[in-house]
Amino acid sequence: MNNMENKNSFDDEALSRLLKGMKREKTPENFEFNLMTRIQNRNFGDLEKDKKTNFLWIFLPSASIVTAAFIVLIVLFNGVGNNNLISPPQVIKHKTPKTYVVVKDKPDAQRNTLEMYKIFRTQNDVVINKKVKLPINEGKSLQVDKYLNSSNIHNSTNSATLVSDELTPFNFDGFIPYTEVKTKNNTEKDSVLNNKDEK
Amino acid sequence: MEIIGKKNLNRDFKSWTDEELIKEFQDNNTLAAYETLVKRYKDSLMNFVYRFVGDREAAIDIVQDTMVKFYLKKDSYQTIAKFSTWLYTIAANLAKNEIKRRKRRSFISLNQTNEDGPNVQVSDSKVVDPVRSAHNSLMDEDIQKALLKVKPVYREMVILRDIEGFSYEEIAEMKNMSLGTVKSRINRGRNQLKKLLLKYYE
Repeated sequence: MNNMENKNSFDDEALSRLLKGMKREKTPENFEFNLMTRIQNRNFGDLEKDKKTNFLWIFLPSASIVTAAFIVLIVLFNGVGNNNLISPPQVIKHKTPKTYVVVKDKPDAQRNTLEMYKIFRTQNDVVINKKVKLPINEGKSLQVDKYLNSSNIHNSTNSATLVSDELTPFNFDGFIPYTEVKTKNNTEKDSVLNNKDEK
Repeated sequence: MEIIGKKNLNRDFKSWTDEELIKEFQDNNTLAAYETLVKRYKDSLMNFVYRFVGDREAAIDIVQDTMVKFYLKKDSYQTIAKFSTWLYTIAANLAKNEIKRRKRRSFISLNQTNEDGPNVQVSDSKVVDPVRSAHNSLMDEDIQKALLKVKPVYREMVILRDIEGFSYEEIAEMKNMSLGTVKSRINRGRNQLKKLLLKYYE
């Protein structure tokens, strides 16, 4: 390399000469023997198999989109009704009991005695009224509407059991929804109507 | 077919052209023609694959696989193409697969040797005549390291052009690319190499 070969004159030709000047790698001596042995033994491994191009991957994105769209459609058109968080509660007719509980309030008694009747509705819509025993301890029960209206807040001694500490067992049987039946001195009112009347 | 085979046993395949040999192998399944082609190309393929992959053992395996594929797929060669370009295409594809496999397994890291900056660490920075000293094994090692840092798409082109001596047209045919793309890629590969080998000329 003469003086012309400096940094600036490091042209393609010089690079090419540099690369060509590299020592050439050779196969080992037993290369052909190994190759022919491999061919005779037909030890071709995967090379013999034709590489089949799998085009299924092309459909993968579209399949994903279709699946996503399908899920969205299901959620939009079917899922809303079943989602209790975003839809109002709906009456499921086939699950509506044919038995109703009615509690009669006896105003003439010293205490408000609760009587529970079961009203059976038969297939022909014939209503049968039958008195049944209350499934709860009557003495420990109170009518929430009346309790909230403070009509019997003082004479109920069991209200405290609804709020108990850790030591006292919590005797809460749950709520029994009932329909108040009209009697002579008692009209069917709910708590809201009662409040309005009072006003 | 047997008669032709016996006839060909007496022939001197060394004087045959590549295309004549592959035709003989295709038509008569003459193993001697195949062996002649193997002998003719094994070392040049070895050099090409080694420079491309940078691992001697892997290069030997790739060249052997190339020859096996040549044996198995001899009928896929068509006389319209030059035999050498066809064979180099097989080797290049296998070598590229090997590089991809290695990349996936993180066997090699092309950036590993690039911690000291863009230039290759040269063992003897006072080399004055790089071309004459190219035979120097240390320099070979450095050039090889630099080659491996060049992007594989450019590296392949530079090796085919500057080391194996293929023409632009042959490379274009081999890679099924336009002449412009080939020239552009070779140019980019060379520029990358020049930057990496700059220390030789300081």
